[in-house]
Amino acid sequence: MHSVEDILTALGREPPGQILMINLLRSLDAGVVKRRPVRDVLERFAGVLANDALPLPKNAVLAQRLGCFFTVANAWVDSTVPQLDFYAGGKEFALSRVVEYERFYRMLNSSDVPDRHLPVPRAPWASGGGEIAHADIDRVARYINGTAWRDEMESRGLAIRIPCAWLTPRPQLDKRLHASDSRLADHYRDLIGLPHLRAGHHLIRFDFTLIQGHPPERCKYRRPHGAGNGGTRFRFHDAGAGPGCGWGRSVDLRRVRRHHASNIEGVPELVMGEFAPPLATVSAHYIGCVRRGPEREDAFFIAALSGNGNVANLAATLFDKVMS
Amino acid sequence: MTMQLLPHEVDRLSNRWVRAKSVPSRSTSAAGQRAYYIDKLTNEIGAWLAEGLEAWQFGAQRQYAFAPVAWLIGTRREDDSYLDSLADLGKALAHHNDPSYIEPPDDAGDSSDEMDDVPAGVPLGAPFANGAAIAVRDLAHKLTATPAARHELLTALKDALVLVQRLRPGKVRGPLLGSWNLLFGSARQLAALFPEGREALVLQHAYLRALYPAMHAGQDKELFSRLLSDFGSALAGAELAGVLADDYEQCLLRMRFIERLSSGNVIERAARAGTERQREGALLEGASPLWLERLLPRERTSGDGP
Repeated sequence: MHSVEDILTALGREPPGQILMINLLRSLDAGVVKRRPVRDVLERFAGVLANDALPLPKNAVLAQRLGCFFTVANAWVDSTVPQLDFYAGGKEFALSRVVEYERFYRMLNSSDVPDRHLPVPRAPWASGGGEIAHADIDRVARYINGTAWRDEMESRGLAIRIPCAWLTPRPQLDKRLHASDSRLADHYRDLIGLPHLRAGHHLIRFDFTLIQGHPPERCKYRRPHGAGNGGTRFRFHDAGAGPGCGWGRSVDLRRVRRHHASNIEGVPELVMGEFAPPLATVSAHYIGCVRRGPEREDAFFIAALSGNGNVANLAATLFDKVMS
Repeated sequence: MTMQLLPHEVDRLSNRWVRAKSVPSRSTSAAGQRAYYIDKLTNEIGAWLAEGLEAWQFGAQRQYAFAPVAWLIGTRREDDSYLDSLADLGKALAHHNDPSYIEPPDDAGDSSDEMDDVPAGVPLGAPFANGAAIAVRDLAHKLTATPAARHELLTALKDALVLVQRLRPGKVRGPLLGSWNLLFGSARQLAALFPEGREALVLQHAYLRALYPAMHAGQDKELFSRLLSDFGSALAGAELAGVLADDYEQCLLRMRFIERLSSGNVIERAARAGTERQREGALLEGASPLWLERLLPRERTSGDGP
């Protein structure tokens, strides 16, 4: 039977698992995640994988799956809660989220009924433009940048209901990115730290205005921490005191690519559960097509996470901290 | 948006879906036993989906909705909706056979030639997709019987229809047409369930979008025509326009195209210009009827010049 120890040992062998464990240990040390819930999740996870006749999954899948377990267990405990208007500067304030074209299309279209405005998304590796053929980009961009898509959702009785939304303050993106940037889509992807976005993906930014559509009280939000599903380019942010420390920080993939070990921070980010903003408070903006794949320097990123690149005892350290 | 399922997860789902592994009598053929098993599995999946979709609407129950694989639903960072993960689960299951399925014994009464015709194993993709249609049926029934949870059940039903649209089950007509009649078949029921007329229209529209891929064969043509007629009447009386009217027009075009295709003269002409099967295949894949219309030779009317 695969025990918790077996699972942690397996995770500690390769980068995806190592990245998850480093973040989890740092989150435990910072006190934003409690030991008992982590132990419960690990034991439940081991229970699911208990069948010895079946091998443990590959490291990346094992890490991703454990992240899902943490998320569904709803480990929302945090010592601080981000102040939502901290980055507003007295102006209208929006939280932003970047998705690829296929997600935008699927939000509007689940059926085979042809969409008169939007072409069916192609594979990102399709020649002649990736997800969107070159000839269609202008009209798609005009449609996305307008408000007709919201009217269509309203007509169809559709709503935005994101179960676990990772969001960034729009003013922070505006500060670091400029519309004149010829590689704008690549830089959006890198600054927010989204390694699943590859060359050929066309990016759309959603802005959720808070002043009009402030989340209701029951909507939970927190700084991202290691007991979540941050993915392979997530680093738990633990710094300082005061209202700004309630926010996490994305990893800037461009800095990772250039091996800037001293500072790989991107932009502030937080996680919201059950995020369902009114459509009238949502706007979309077409960014462009990603040209280059994300960086994949696992070794450098782990060194930046751990401080010294020493990952030899991660499994034992985590086991002792949580299970004993 | 691919999902890799662990064999452990497939095991858990299979055990959850097939509670009683009773085997029909030996007098049933191997093919009959397999069909019976698939039918039972589909209904169990449908009930599971209906329960999960309903539970999801109550926030406090979400961590238990879709047990025993609740961690797969709505937990990915890139998901914009929990329906993304459900649809991806359905697609991932297409690559897995049901581990609970026991091949019928060799002496089930079939000749060795007949046994060769029975596929091995039961892939889970089709039962899951067809189960989504069953979930629509089950939720529609529950909506009529549980006024206290009307809002949540209505949302769950709409979500189930979106799931059907994403998964494109092969057996969609029976559950959807039956539940359409249940919900919209009588004016009294309509008024009781949908005091605000717009809700009914939006729901009917979701039904039509889910049925669109199935509007291609002669069977149930009259039923589809009636559905479209009812929807068209409701649309005409409403202030809504735009996308609902556009989709209605697309469905009408599809039906009219099918009617023309089933006309002998059209088939003969199409056979000369190409193959009917190619056009039918393109239509099944969701190609716009407008585009397909252009493929067919134009009918000459008395007003046309030489």
